[in-house]
Amino acid sequence: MRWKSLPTDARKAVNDVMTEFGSGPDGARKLLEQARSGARPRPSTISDDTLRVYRDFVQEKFDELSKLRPDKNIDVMRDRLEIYRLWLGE
Amino acid sequence: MLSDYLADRIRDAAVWYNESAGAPLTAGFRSSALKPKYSFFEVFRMCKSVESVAKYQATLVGDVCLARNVLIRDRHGSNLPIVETIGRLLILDTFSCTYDGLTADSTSGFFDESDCPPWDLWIDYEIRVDSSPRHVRGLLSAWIPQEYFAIVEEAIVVSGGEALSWGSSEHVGLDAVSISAFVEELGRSVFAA
Repeated sequence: MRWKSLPTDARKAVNDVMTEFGSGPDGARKLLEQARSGARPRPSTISDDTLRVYRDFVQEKFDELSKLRPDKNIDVMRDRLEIYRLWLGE
Repeated sequence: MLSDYLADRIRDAAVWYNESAGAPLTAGFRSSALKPKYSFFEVFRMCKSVESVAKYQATLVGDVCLARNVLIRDRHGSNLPIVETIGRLLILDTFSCTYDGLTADSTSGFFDESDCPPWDLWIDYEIRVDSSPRHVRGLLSAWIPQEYFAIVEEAIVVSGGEALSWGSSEHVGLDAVSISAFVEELGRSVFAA
């Protein structure tokens, strides 16, 4: 399933969590710090399947941009992928 | 069938753009006179349900378009200037945005953190509800002048193709016939997305 195909409620729930500390790189960095310290555990209200769909979308975008725009700073995506690695244990 | 209000809003955006030409990119197209009360991201964070987000964002877009129309009519009365600018419609599927800030960074602020184009160019916000699977869609449309096609193309690439897309395939001028084609094309694109 693609990110865009998820029910809107599920996408909002994911985005709510991912922007808990703000949008963009700064928000992602703060959330990663919280996830690493254990202060922000995996959200219990979002299913593993939904988290994986989001993670796969970010991974796909990360891979594409790494090829198409290698000079671009995509730390925000690297941080978000790390958050999902911590939460999903994969 | 052509929606008159959409044609009027495309014309208003083009007139406003023509009269803002030469302004710095970061200031141009986000006029203080039209500034919405909240950004799309602020609305997203404030509202708990997707329905509330969509309704609030739709209200913001309606307010901006109305204010733009009032100001243009204050300036020009009924003698609206004739503009020959070429443009395309851009669609933002607001709930597909991931708020990573990449489009803002890649376009020097032409787009904001919500993948939102500048409010001076907003045309419409349509709420669509599909029942199965349950989807609420908030579709912002904006008129993009030819000078900014390349910037938008870059944003579409960077956004990963989920949130931003062109709403019309042809580059058309703003005469009466092509506006009609433009809006019809927008309708097809929104249905197909």
